[in-house]
Order: sequence, then structure tokens, then C-alpha cells
Amino acid sequence: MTQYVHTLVISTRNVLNELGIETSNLFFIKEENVEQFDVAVIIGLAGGLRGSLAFILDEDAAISIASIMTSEELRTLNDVVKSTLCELANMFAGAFISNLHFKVEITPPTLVIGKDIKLQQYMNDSVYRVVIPSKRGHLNLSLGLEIKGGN
Amino acid sequence: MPKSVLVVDDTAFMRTKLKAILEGIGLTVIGEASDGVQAVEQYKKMKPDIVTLDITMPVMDGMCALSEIMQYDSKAKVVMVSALGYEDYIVQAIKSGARNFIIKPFKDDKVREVVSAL
Repeated sequence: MTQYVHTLVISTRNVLNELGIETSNLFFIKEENVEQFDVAVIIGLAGGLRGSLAFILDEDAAISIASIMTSEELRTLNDVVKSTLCELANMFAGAFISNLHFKVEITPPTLVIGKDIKLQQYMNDSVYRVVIPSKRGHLNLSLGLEIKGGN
Repeated sequence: MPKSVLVVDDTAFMRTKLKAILEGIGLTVIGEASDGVQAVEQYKKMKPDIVTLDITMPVMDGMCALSEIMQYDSKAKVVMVSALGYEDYIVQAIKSGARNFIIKPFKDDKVREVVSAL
């Protein structure tokens, strides 16, 4: 599992750098399965890896990140923000699986919005959360994998 | 007459971004589609000079749409624009007839360079 988390950190950092989104060099990794959130984009993983990747953040961070990506000053969690976050999650997942040495398929993104909704990824407890501090708020990527035979 | 383009991606964000880049180099975006089925239908209806095609989409993915478009028109100029930079996907897309493959996230210049070379 740890090698996948490492790959996720590296690939995520590359995507953010490419998009010009400034982040801290310090990424925190937590073994944690339940997350409360305002916005989450969930992408399913199938094939060589089974599970899901969830991109989780609060509303202010969501609007702020989308504003950078669109070069517009967005103020509400509107359709532009939602679409932008879905694309960003797709880029994270695509970069992650492209750095693995076997074929993994991903689903189109599913967007979940609410206040303090709890997300739990049931996958043999193999759930790790990568926290990316940025000036725009914390970005979280939660990777839940079904690992045959445990970790 | 400027070349016409069909932009296919499931997110409005990416369609808007690609449209702005393509129109910035004098191309005309004559249609947009958000899944593979729409892409094939619009290709047959509009006969665009160029198609930009995402892979991960609902209903029908971009690889299936590419095959159907190439089956309909073996001279179609399709450029894949996807976050899936995995080598197998790139090889498979090129073998299926795609002219090039742009990995997301991309620099605007990359799109200009690839599309201008078609």
C-alpha cells in the first residue's frame, strides 16, 4: 500500500506544479478512513488496482482552486467550479495510474456536495489520506484500495 | 476557410479551455460532445476537420468512440486529450488511428503545436 501512496504523492505534486497551484512541499499522510467534507470528487479504480480515489476539500478551497484553473474570480460553488474540480480529480487519478507499472482503469468522476457529509471507503481498511497544504486551503486525496491478503 | 473542430470531453471546464485555445489559433469549434456516443453522432453529422477526444467519459469512452469514428472515416484526424498517460493507452490510441496524444494537464502551446501540425 505504501508504494501506491508514494506514487500518489509524486504524481499529485506533478499535476499541481503543472497547473501552477502552489503547495507546501510537506504532504501529510494519514491512515484514516472517515472524512468530513463539503465537496468530494470520487473516482473508481478497476483492473490492476480495485478501489477508489476521493479528492476532498472544503468549499472555500474548492472555489479558490477552480479560480486558479479557470483564471476567473469565482465566488460560489457553481457549475464552473464543479466541472473544474471533476477535471482536476480526473487529472490526479490519471497521473496516479499512469505512474504505476500495470494497467488500471478509472471511472468518470462522481461529485458529492454537502455540509459535513462523512465519506467512508470500505476496502479492507487500506485507506490512506494524503493532505496537501496550500495557500488556498488543504487539499485531501483519500486512496482506498482492496489489497488481496492485507497490506 | 478555417478548419473545423469537434471538442469531446465530459467536463465543461475542459471543453471551454480547449475551445478558447483552438479559436485562438483561428480554428472554428463547430461542436462539443460530453460522451463517446455524442461524439460519434456529431462526427457523422458535422464532418469536422479535427476532433479532440477525451478517454474517460460516461456512456461510451473515448477509445470506443475513436474506433467507431475511424471505422466511419479512416481519414479522420483525431487527437486524444486525456489524463491517462499510461503507455498502453497511448500505443492503443495511435494504433487505432489517433494522430497524436496530449496528456492532461497540458500547456496551451502543446495543443497549438499538435493541432497546427495536422
